[in-house]
Amino acid sequence: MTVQVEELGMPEARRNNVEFGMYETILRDPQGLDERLLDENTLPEATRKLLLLGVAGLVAYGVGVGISAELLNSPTLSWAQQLAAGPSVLWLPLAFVFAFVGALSICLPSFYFYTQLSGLDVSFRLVTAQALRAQAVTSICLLAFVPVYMALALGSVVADGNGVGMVLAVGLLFPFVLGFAGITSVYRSFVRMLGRLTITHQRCGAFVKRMVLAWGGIYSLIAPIALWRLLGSFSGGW
Amino acid sequence: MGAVETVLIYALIGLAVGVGAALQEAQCSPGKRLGIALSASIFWPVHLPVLLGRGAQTRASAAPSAASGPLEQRILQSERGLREALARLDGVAEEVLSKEQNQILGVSERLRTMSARIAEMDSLLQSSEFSASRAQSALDELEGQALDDPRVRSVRARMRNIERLSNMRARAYEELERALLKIEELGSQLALLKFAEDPQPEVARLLQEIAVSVDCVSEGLFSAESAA
Repeated sequence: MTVQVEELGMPEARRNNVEFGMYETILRDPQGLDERLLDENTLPEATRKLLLLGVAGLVAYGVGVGISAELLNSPTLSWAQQLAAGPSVLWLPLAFVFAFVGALSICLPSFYFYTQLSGLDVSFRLVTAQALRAQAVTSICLLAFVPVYMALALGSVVADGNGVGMVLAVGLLFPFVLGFAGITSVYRSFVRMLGRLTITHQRCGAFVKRMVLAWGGIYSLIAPIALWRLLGSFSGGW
Repeated sequence: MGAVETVLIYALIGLAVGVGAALQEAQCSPGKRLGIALSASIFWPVHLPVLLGRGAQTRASAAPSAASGPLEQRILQSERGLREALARLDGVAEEVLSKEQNQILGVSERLRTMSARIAEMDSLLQSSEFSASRAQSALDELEGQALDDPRVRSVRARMRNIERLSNMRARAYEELERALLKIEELGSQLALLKFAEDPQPEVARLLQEIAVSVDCVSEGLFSAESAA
């Protein structure tokens, strides 16, 4: 018996049981990603793919910023010269990857602690996966932003170096701005998972929002310092 | 401790984690194992929880690909649709959301129980004991016998039971489908609440309606089975 039913915004491919790659899953089927993360059998593979996606996006973005730094090597700005020191196309991606993934690793115990405080009994593995989810979403946004950023940099080159400082500053700060997309995806994911996670003690009010804000707060303290220190170390080596 | 010492210790731990990760993925190809080992060696702080930890038990069962049968898929889709519609709502407090999500879980569990009963009936109907064609051939073999022959009576009783089970199965399937359609109908109303000013009371009412309709269907189904 065939029945016409109205789907509630479900992706066509999931209705047809088509498997998405991780990139498409993040963009088109976030609920499918939730299922993968909640299943202990698929969680390890999903975590690895999220890490890979996160790193790939940061590398691509780092290459873009590195090229811009070399093109916009302004003699009047000392920090711009530092960014252009040596083969910045090689060391800037490394600095981005180790800064952001390193900050995430440092913050993982805090993320787990805040999750437990919010009353959700979530495993450390799931906390790690969700943190990497935020990074992967941010990396996808950064991938999308690279052409725009390159256009900005080239525009500054054509304009005889006007706005060099601003362009380079945008390159360094934009991962933090786009990080809001990552943290939003984590928030929505936890809200969807609410009925399927063990709640150890019921909190009142917007407890998931508070938890995710705590995640974002601690990460926003650590990541800039990590990035600044690594940029200094890598550029000083040349 | 200087930078060199830190890097050395990091590398040593990374090596151990890399080897452990590669050993855990024994079923993968050598190339993939090498990639996993390399990734685990460099990014061991994020690989280590995955390598060591066993997740806390969630109330969710296995992933959708493990769910068998079209009925299970539809139940899963309805559950997802409701969750997605709830998650999209603004103006509903998270504590209310968590309670309503639990209610959805309860509804899904009852639907899965109904689906499991239908699967049991299907498997019985496929067994040789409940094979209608086998019972008919046995009756045909006894064609020459008198109607009040105990063997004929026995085969006819078996055929009546088979028919009764088939009818029960058909009715159970219709009831479950009715419940699923009702859920989908109310789920679409839930999705429209996104544009309402204060959706909270309406959300609770709709989910209560879903729970009641599923309860009615399952109670009707179980009482019909026990009457049979």
